[in-house]
Amino acid sequence: MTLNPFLRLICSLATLLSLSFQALATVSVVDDTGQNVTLTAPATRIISLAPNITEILFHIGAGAQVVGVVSYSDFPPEALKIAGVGTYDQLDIEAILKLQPDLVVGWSSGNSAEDLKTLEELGLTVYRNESKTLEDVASSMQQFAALTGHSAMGNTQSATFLEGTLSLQKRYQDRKNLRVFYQIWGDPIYTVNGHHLISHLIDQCGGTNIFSGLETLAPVVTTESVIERNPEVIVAGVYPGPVPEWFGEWNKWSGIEAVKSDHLYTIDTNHISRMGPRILLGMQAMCEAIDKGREGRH
Amino acid sequence: MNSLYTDQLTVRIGDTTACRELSATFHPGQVWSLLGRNGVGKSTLLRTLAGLRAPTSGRVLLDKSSLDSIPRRQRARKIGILFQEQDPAFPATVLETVLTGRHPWLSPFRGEGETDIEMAQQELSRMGLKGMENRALSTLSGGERRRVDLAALVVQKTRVALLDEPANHLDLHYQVDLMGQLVGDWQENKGVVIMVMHDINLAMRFSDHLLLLFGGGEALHGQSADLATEENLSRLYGHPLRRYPASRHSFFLPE
Amino acid sequence: MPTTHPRRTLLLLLGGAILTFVVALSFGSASISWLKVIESLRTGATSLDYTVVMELRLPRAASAFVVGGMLALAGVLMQVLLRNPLADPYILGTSGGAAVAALTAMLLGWHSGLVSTAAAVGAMFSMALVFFLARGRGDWAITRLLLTGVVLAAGWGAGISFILAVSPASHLYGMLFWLMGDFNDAGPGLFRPLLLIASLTGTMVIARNLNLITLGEDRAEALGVHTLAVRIGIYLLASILTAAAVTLAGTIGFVGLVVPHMVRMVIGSNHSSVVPASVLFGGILLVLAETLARTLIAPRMLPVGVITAFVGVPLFLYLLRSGLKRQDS
Repeated sequence: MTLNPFLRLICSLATLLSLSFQALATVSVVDDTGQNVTLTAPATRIISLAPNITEILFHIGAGAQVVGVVSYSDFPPEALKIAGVGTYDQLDIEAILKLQPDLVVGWSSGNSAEDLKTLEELGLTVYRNESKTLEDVASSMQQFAALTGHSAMGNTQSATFLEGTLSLQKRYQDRKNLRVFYQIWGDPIYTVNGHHLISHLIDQCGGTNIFSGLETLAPVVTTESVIERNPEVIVAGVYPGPVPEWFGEWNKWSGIEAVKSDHLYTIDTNHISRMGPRILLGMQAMCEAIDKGREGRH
Repeated sequence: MNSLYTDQLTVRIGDTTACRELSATFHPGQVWSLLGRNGVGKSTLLRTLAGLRAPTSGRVLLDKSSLDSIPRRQRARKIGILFQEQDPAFPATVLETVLTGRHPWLSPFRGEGETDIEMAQQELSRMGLKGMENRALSTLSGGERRRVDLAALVVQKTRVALLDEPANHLDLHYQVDLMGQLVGDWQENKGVVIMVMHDINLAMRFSDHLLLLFGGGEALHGQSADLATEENLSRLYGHPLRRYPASRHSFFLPE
Repeated sequence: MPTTHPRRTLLLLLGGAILTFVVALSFGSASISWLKVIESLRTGATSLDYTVVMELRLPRAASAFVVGGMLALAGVLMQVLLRNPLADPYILGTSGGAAVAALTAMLLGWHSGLVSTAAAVGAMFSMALVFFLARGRGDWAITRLLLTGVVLAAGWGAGISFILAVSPASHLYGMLFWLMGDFNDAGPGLFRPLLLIASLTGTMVIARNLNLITLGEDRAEALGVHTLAVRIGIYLLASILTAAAVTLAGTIGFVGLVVPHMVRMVIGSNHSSVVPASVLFGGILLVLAETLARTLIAPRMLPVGVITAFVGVPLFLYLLRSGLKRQDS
């Protein structure tokens, strides 16, 4: 006997609906290298191959879906409990395979290209991320959110983040411009040039990086050259804990304006050097430090 | 006086015994030649007599004191040794090398003085090396280098002179004349000369005493006149030798 | 054969040393005016120029001179001890031990004063280890000493690679610069210059013994030299000098090998001249290298060890060639 035409209609509709649900569930995103990454459903077992990627994933609500991280994925604290898969430059491929992920989020310039290729050849889906600017961080939030089924939160977080940066910029950029020296390390003295994100942040906080003109991204400079350029504020990116010895050395050179007026500040390097949500905190710390420099002699 | 003597001296290196329980006296004014086949232990014995090597058993004494009880510096002023080969690690000049012989006489804080340099230059002249003070050793011939070493030994001004194959590399003229002069000087100054020689005839020319090492520790010592027989020397070298008397000495030639 | 008179060479080197200091004080990434410096010296008022010259360049130049002198002297001693013109202060592993200790200290987050102390302890430990493993008499003892030292140095090298591999990226900055050799702005202190002067004097006193040691153990003994005592003394002194140099400036290569060589090529092998000439020349070379390190790509800085290689190699090759030409003529 043939199906009741009404029943047939309902069957077709049901098929159509389920197909469209499937289509809705399929996720397709273009990663930062231009490659199309497609998942049949939002990822539920994610491996993060860089500490900042871990932070962003947690930030957009996908923390519970992360099953593997590389070393130094130490924020938020929950990330410390996740299984380790090696270091960002030496991935533990076996560990990655054992965790049976449905998505691997890699760091395009930091991970080994061969390793990422190997993972793809072994059948895993790899999304290559590269965050170089604040806008990149915001966009990564949205991309990851799409891949993990948290689009709503992703959009919110991304917007909040961008707003935060813009508001800081608006507040500080047009204030009195100061000469700023940013220091990554003391022995030898490592700083950043104008192409570095931190240098852009200094600009947005209303400062000028005294070494912005150099060609190397993270050059080693002489003490003399710092003295000669006479910064008005010295900011060092350090790890939480006691102030490193090399930072205290600046007090010897009382000829430097920043030393004379006691405008020597340390900020948390984890904030400002990691391309994740906390860079907003880093930017805020930088702007506040430079702003204190405008107060004149202490 | 200046007697060097051994008391039940046994010198053994590995499987080779150079001498066993040798008691010999080397009186001042005597010239000794130490003879034997290759590998019998002549150089080792010489080094032991120089105090550079401890005896396996027995003692070497100089003027009643055992060699090992004499401080190095003092010993170096009394016993001088000419080694078979030179092996300097760094380039040295002729003059520098000759002056090393003056070391036992120089005080630690003083460098070489004018007298020392004059002495060295005098010896260089005698050796036919005048004007070559600043030449590098490496630019010299084997014979010239031998003469430099001889000069260094002479300026060391020791009473006891131990020489390991001194005539090696020397031209005939030097072998005969120079050696003759040097040996004569030592004899005159009541010194003792002990030479390792491998040329029996040259040995006979200069020495009045012989120390024969037959291997396995067997040794004969005494006056050349007594010891230098066809029988002894043939046995010593493991090859028949015949004696040919000539005007002053006899010659020994292989058959 | 070198025919340059030793005394003249020494005077030349002394003059050269003074000139080098003037150069080191005059050049840098900041342009200074000597008038302002002299004025500050007269009036006692501080100025930027004065600060840069007196408190930055002078201590660095002084450190460089002292370290250069120590490395050169240690090099001479090592070459005598091992009877080998290819020996350098690091050949027996002293610097390797210092490096492993220093890098470990950096890894643990210790501050630079403790890092230097650790380096000194590491150097001494390595020295004692080689010494006890290679004890013995006779010429063959030198070979044993050399082999023990070289193997130990290789072991330390593996240790260094290991530490570099497991260190977090942030620590690598300091570690690599330390290994390539670098001065901080602190100056040589009091101990090191005194050590250098004392060592120089002591070595000059036994200079003749050094000449004799190079002839071989038997010959030296036959001439009355207490070879064992002299060799132990040389070994201890060379190790202490190397440790003192490495703890101030990291492992700066090349100076200890090439300076004694170049000096010998010019004034011969008499150690009473070679020793002071090497100290002066080593100091000069390193001060020049240090000056270049901070002016060549100013405001950026290069590790000093890189410069010593770039300067030393062509200089050495040139002298080698001109030495050969003279020998043939």
